[in-house]
Amino acid sequence: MTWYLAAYAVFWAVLFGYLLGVASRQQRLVERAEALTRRLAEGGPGSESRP
Amino acid sequence: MSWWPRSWRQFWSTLDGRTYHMMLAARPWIGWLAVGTMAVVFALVFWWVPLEAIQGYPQKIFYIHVPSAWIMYAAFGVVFASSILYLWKRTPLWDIFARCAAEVGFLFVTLALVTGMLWGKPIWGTYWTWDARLTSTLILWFIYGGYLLVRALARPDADVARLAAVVGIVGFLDVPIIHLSVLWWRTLHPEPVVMIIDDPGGGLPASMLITLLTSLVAVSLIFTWLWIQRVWQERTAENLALLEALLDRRERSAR
Amino acid sequence: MGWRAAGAILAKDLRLELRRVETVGTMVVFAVLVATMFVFAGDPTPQDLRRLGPGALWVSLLFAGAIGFGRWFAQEERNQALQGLLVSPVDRAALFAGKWAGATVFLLGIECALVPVTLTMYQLDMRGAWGELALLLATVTIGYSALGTFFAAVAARTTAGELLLPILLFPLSVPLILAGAEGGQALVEGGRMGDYWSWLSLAVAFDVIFGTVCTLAFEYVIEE
Repeated sequence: MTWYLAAYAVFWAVLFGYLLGVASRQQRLVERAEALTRRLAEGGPGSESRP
Repeated sequence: MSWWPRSWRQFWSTLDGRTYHMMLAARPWIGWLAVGTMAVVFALVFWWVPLEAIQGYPQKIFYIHVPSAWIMYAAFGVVFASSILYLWKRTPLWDIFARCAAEVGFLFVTLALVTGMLWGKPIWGTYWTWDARLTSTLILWFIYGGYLLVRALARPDADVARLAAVVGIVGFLDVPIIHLSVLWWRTLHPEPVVMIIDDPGGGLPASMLITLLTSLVAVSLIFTWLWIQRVWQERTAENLALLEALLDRRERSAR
Repeated sequence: MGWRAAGAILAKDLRLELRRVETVGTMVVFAVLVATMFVFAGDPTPQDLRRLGPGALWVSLLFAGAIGFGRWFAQEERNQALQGLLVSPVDRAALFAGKWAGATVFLLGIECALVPVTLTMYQLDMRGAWGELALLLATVTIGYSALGTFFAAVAARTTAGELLLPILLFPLSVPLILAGAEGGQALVEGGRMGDYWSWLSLAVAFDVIFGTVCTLAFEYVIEE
């Protein structure tokens, strides 16, 4: 009984750990995208003329 | 039917983008299906499926161990196919497919090893035996660990994608030979008596087979979802980097 | 394929190595030392020695090779010699074949010294099967050199070159090492010629598959 519960616990702990890593990557991507949007807005229409 | 490829040439050269868009469209479905089937697996494993007569409870590890092992082969198959297509087409998506499949596949090899050890302890009396399957899984773990290390440690001036693709192809081709050699190595020697029983194979009762197959579907869905999510993240990170570089240039020229 | 180009590269490598024979000599000492250290891993009786011997021989060669391949490839990186080779009108496959042949010759040279020493230290009796032993040694060495040369080129493109090479090389060489150790064991025990031929054919199949794959894929590794 112990071994079987331990195996399931480890399996899910590892998967959830990985999922947390994926979620934190996601968070970083969102932050980067937000910073980019801010920079685009700050740039203003004046600088649009230059590629 | 404008989406239909006009020729084989066009089919192959647009395959990465098509696959990517299909993956994104399927992502929410796969995610919810994964959660649903996993709930079913929980119900089946914990309440429904009968205990195996000889092993008792530890045998239930079977329902997560076997799917993990199955997924690792599927994942490394994806690495192999994507690596070949990358060397052929040289479009970054193929590289991303391979990279993410290797990462998530490595996770499942680790899970297969750990659950295998936790199963071995009560049944064989030891965490580790040099049984053919365990040994070749361990070697597989090293091969794909090396693949990920090549990616992590490539020199800045080297073409990581190309290098990794080559390692992915050669590594995958070696897997069947390793299996064969390890099998011979174990069977030419007298087997130690720690192996009390063989893995349940053909004579599996219907209830156990149903549970196993459901678990196989659930774990496959989890793998696919994680893979898609990682592919999407890598692709998005590349696009963001491109935009950031563009913006940097614009700001510099505006100054 | 440019056989002459491959031959020229082999000749160049051999000449370079003969000019500083001490490197190969050092590697022989290293390999013999590894085989010696193996004895200290336990408190072996003569039976244990005979059981461990073929394996110890192959592990020593594995280590010597892992150090050698990296060095033999690194000498091409120095002074951008590799760039010189790449711009010369030499087929990539011929370039690989030349380096592969060179590595095989060096490893066989090391074996010439290592094998007699190991046979003596581990009290192995070949029962007259010298031809079979030579055949096995050559087959395994050819395959191991193919993989080694190939992955030395891969590892040279990473920041952890010398450390990464064995990590990539050893797992993939498992079939070869098993073929060498188990085939050798079959010879030492005598009367297990069926097993010997099975392992030998496995090593031959390995050589054919990975000789071809590495030769074809080498182009993608060194492409600039």
